[in-house]
Amino acid sequence: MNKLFVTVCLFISLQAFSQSAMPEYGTIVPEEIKIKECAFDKEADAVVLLDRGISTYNEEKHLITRRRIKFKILKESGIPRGDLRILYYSADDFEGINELEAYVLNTDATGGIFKTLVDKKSIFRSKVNELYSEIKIALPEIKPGSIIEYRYTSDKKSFSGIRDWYFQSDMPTMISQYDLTILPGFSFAYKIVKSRSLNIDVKNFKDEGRIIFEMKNVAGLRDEPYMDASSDYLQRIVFQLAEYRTYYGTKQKFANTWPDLARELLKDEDFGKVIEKNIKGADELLVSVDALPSDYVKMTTIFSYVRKGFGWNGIYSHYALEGLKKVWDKKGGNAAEINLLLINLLKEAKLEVYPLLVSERDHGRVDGSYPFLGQFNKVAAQVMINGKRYVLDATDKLTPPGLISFDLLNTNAFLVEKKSTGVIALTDDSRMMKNFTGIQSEIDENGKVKGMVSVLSYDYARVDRVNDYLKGSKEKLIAKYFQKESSNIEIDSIEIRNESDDSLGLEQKFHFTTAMPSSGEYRLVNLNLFGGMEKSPFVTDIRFTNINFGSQLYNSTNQVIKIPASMKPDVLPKNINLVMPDNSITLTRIMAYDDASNTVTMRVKWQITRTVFTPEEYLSVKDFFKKMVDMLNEPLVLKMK
Amino acid sequence: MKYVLLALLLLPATSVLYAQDRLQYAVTLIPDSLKKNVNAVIREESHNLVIKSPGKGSEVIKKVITVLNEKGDAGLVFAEYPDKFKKIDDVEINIYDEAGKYSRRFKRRDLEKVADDDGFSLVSDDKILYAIIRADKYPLTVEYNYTIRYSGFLEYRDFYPKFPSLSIQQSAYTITTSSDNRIRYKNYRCTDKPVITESGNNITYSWSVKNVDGYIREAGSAQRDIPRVLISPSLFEMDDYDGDMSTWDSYGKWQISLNNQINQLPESSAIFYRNLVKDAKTDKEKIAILYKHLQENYRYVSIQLGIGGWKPFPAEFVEKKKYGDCKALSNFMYAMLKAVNIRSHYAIINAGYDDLPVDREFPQNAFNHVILCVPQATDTIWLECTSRKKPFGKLGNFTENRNAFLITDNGGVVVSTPISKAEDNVMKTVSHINLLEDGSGNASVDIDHQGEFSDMTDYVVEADDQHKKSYIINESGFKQPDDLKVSKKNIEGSSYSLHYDMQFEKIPDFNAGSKLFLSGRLYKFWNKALPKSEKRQNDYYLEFPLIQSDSTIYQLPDGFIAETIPKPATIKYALGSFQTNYVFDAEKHQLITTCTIKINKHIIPASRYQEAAQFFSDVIKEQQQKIVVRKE
Repeated sequence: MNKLFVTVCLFISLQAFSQSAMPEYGTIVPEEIKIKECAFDKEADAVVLLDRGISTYNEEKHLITRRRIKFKILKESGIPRGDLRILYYSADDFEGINELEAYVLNTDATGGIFKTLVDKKSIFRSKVNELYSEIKIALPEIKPGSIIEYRYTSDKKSFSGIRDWYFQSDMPTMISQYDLTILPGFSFAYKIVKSRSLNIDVKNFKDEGRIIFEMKNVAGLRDEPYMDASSDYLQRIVFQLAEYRTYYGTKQKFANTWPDLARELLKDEDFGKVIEKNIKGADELLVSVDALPSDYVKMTTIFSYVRKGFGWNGIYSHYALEGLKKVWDKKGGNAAEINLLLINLLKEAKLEVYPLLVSERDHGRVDGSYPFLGQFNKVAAQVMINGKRYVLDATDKLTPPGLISFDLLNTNAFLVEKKSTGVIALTDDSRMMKNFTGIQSEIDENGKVKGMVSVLSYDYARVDRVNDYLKGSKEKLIAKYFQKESSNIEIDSIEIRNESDDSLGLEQKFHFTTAMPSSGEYRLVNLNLFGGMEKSPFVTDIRFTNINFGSQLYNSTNQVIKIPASMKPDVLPKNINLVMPDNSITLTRIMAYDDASNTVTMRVKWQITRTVFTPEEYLSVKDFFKKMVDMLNEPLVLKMK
Repeated sequence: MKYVLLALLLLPATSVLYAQDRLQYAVTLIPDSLKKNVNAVIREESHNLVIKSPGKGSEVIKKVITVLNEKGDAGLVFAEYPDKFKKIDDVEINIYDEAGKYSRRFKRRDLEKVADDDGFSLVSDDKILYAIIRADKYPLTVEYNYTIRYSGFLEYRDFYPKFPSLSIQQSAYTITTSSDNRIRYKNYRCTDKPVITESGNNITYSWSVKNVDGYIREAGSAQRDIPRVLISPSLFEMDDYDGDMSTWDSYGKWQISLNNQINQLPESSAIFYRNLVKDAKTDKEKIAILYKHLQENYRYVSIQLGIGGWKPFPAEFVEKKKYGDCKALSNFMYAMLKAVNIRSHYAIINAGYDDLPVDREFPQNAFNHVILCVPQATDTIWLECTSRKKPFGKLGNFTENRNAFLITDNGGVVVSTPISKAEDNVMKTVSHINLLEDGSGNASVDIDHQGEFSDMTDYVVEADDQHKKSYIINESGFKQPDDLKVSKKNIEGSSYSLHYDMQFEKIPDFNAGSKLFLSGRLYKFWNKALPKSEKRQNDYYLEFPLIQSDSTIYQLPDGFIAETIPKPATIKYALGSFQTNYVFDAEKHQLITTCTIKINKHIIPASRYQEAAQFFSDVIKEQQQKIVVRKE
């Protein structure tokens, strides 16, 4: 009897089992030839007609998966999909791809149907990196209307290579089915991640250790601005096995509870054990750290040593597979190796430090109800000093200690300690993407505007800009944030300050000159020159995913404009107080005119205090941004006296 | 076995013995003058190329670079591209601190080797061998030592006597070859001459420079406009094909040896193509029919394997697969034309709107693209065979204004490709706007695109809502519509026309009191400004010459009049002109604005740069003028 833990099965529809019979490979289906657009996703440039995987085992206990995909190109822009890529785990010959076949079906003007088989010459294999290789197929005769079908068999040395099954991609999918027969004796759990509005069929043949999942008519998921991880939305089955080879080339443990998982990890040779083992060669550093005056200075010294001196090879992982000595000698490694090294050194320096398993915002939300390791993509460190928490990630070369990396802010993490209580939230409402702008300008009789700008950027706004400055130049920094190619603004006398002091705002100062457009006796002064919000990012009518700003946003601009004697304001832009019903987004503008000095002052502040908005809230956010951009773009109208 | 184990164990310990400090690399020894305006300094660079035979040789390279700060991090990257004809050996990278004290090293086994994903090739056998060195502290000095072993030559490395943003303390390039296979060289924007020594059967050329400041590369300059000594083989050999590059003619013979046998289609196909063109009256019509057949049925896929970098896939292969790269598709088009008895020439070229024509007097492999040239009695037809959209006979800015290396029946010759013409790149927009009293309204917009402008039309029609609107709002600069419908019609004569139906809650830019302020049009007509560059040295490259025009007709609500309309204006400079006009028809309540810009040449000579910058700035200012309308 198989150990088949079905720990989670959310929203399984109770309808009768009705899984679809699929046409044989190579069958010409007249209905498919008629399809011109995807009925449930009209924007799509291609549609998956069927996607089927059948996984089982052979005598050597290998995981054998027969995969078959059929899709149709609908538009000219879908033609690049005719270059197929199949990624496989080639390290240690863990996975082999065999019995690959493909063909393309086309029709001509008279309704004739032509099938072109793909021959061996059009199939190429190449190595992607140390772990992965890729099979690439240049399909012949691809044009709008082409139907492509291909199949192959993947042979993995062990069941630990099982992958999550995705019912959804950036193409809409008409039928997706996964048929899995488990190797006897293999313990595993799965969870269904899906939207409430879609149905899934699950048929469980317990005696055979076999389970079949099927979904139909799933629209494509495409990128949206300020979208969180696409994996938060893709309809899928997530598997968790006792021994598991993840995408990151490592194994993983299956545990029923968070404390179980923590214990497993702390016992692990490649995780907990490497933290305890002292590293040959680190003594010199540790001796010098020991002499430092405070725990905080010890922490920042070690942190800066590791993140400056050790390069990340771009591979995510949960484990240090080759031990930390090699990382120390090579001055680089995967994300887990670098941060486990950091934790090791912090521990040696007698600081209170714990490993933290984290999932960057792009990687997906962590579900605290299930102790699945696959939910995380990185290891980070949590240090406690005098009751204050520091979250450190030495693969992030920019964020100062004390600020949670932007990619981790407002995500959930798993604190790996013996008495672990599960996931914790990495939040810090006191830090945001914050900019203060001050502008002083003077207009001359000929309509030329000259002025001085001073911008202070804090926290997350600071991190990005310091990086642009250090990697580029002050000119590039100013060009990127303040000088649009299309504008008629000349900038000079640029000064940048405080780039090396994390506790201060990055100061960006410059002078500018521009000319005012006119219209008869009117002159128009652009009041939205350097605020960075000229167009709304939200343009579509429909939104499928959350808007996730990552952090809170705060922007204020104070502007003083001296007007020449020959002109005066016609009508001042109105004072405004625009707020979302729950105050989550606010805009205020206060305008004033001083007759005596012929000076206009403007104070504008806009702020976003909630980082996530649901698709249901989208239209009101879109509307707010549209109104806000409109108001910010309102110029000051001057009239000749 | 035990012995091996022991050796392995000893290795890390003994490696310490090899490592030595290099006090001559101390940063204090760099003259101050070389540290100005640069982020890295080449301390010492030497390339020692020994050409053993036309197809064999080795190059020993030593490069010592001091990186002063993080902006010089490019100096911390080792990247070489080994292939079937190029092996990288004996790599050793040593890293030193500010004082020249040894810090650590990389050996061949520490390097990463991955497939080179160039972003457009589906398949290539290009690999990158690389290492990225982490700076734990600036400044630091890295010494790269390695050897390249060549088993085929088509080119030699050029010599660069100076670099942008990088100064040189000393640099040398030495080439040794036999006196019966001399290299060829020519100066481009520099005057460096080699020292030549002959001994026995060998001849050695060496170039060297000392203490050279880095220069600043101006934005918008031509891609390859870099001072250098062009160096090229006379006799060469690649994959058992040997050739002579001394003249374009002899170089062409080499390409012929690669292309013949694969530029023929079987008789059964030839019959098909002859049948396809049987009703055509002239050769030109036949060429157009076959080109259309190519565009409709074949697509571009880049596959570069082995000598495939220079040798096209056979025409038969392309015909079967219905795809190919630039070489394969051009060769296939050649074969189709041959099947209907029309002579054409495979034409090798360097692509990119901002690239320079190759030197006619100096045969060198400085190419990255292939097109087809079809000579006709009266004019020559040029075909870009990788595009599914290009109008027949138009190359576009990718390969216009260039020198193409034509493969003739017996050899090769260099000829000019057509000059880009403003009349080929036309965009014409006509908008009818219905403005209501509350400021809302709708617009019906027709945009005709020709030439380079037509590239994005399919995208705008086919993209999903997000991308479509982002393009229209952010690229074309339209006001954000509250409703949008996009449709496309193809008009005879290869222009692409888009139609937008747009709804707006608010058409005026803003209102002040009872006055509505309107822009001349609903989008940014012109948004290209030139970067500030006071003492411009290099020509500036715009993408293409063009004519762009706009007519916008506002239908005002009853009882509304135009209070202020901007004055007509004409702005001109030597290579371009702009006109704008505004008319109010009180009877029809119509306000009509028009404007046209013409850019005659895409290259702005350095001497006219300030004039051009002023012109573009004035155009932007002019189109920001507002119209004031109000209720009578």
